[in-house]
Amino acid sequence: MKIKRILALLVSHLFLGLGIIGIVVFAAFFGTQRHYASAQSPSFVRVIHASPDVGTADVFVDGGLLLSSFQFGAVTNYVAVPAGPHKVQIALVGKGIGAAVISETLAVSPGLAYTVAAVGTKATGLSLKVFIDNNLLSPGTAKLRVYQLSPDGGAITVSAQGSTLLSGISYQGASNYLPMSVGAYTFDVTSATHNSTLPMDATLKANTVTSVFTVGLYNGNPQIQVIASQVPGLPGVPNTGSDPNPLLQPDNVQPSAPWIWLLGASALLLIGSGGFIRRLVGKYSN
Amino acid sequence: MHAVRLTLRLLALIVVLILSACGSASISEELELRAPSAIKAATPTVPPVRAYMKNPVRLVIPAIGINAFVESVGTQSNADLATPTQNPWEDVGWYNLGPHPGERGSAVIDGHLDRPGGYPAVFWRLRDIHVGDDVLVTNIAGKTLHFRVTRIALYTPQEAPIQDIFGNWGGIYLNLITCAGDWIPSEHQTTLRLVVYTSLVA
Repeated sequence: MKIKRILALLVSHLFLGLGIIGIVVFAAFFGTQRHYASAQSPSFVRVIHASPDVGTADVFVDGGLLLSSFQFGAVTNYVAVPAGPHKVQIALVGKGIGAAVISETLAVSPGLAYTVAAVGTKATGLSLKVFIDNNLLSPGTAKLRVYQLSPDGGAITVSAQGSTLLSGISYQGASNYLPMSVGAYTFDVTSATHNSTLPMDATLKANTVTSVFTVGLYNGNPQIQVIASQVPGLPGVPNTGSDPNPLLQPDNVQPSAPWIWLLGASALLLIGSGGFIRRLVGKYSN
Repeated sequence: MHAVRLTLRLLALIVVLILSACGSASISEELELRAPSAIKAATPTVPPVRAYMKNPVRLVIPAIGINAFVESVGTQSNADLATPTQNPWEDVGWYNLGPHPGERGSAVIDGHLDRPGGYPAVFWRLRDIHVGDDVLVTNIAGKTLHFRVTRIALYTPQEAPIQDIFGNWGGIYLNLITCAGDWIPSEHQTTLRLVVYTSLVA
């Protein structure tokens, strides 16, 4: 009788031990499954110099020099900056940050892309105009967006091959993104205010996003000009998951998850059994 | 005596349960053995020889035991990055409209998390990677490039920062993508995407 009691106690301890190990494995499986370090994405900013009254300039961000000798009409590539507010200052080249003619704080969100334009004249005031960009590609085709940054240009219309593509784009405004067939175009940019049409040649490549900027003055210097900038379009994130419960797919009938649930259930059963056996041993030994 | 009999019955029940679990594992192993694993030829889409030679062909992540052939992929009709087609569950896909690994910008490689039924696919263990782990990519020319993990992030598909993932031109990056989270049957996709950002080691 004593040997049986010892045996039963051993079995109960074994069950408890195995059960606890099972619970630990179960917890470890789910505990490690969805724990990831994470970090905030930066923002992406490109800058265009479209202020006729500011000559070649230096651009400072948060007190540091970001761009040097930034010429009128120039467009930068997208630059990564930490998301959040940033103090942007623009000063004539070599004059230093203390001589900034534009000084503004801009808040940018993580992961978004922006076009920041230095705009305005001394008469109307110099400032920064911020556009949120969408560079998602259009598969096999191109996208076009037009920014009107000429202070005296009024509203503009853009046409190609005799067809109006975009119209009513006012100063400091930008068009929607227009899907375009791939190919070479001559875009005609017309200002109704000045009854003037400027041609601009551009080749729209597949899977790209083309930005067209009007900068400068119809009446004055620097003279009006049309600038194009092309960036690669970007795809959306892929779908790399699969249905865990597919129907009628005999080659893939076995989900991987059930074994861990079975382990968890077995562990609980072992613990319960261990406790039950101990109680029984206690009861029958009295 | 009654206690011992009861104990034996319980023991038998538990043994049956554990054997059932082992049976499941065996089926899984069989499936893995049946999965195609032959090495295939690359499918370059860029005809110039010099560009072609930069196409990646193998991705190795020692820390999590990944050693995969790299296919060349473009986009799907909905503009999402495509996934490997030759061997969808064991290969990874390099985005051939972006830069090659080692070029300035963000090269991107995706891979399936799982195959139908929830059985692990090539990037099943991408979840276990850590900041600082090494990622190695070998191109057709035989050159191996060494990247290191700098950030790991989870996003919903709608909120994924595509400019950060695909369009950061401020350095030489290689970003890895797979699915994460829970399966949404009505959308036929998971709730999240796991993005592992890496940077070229000098």
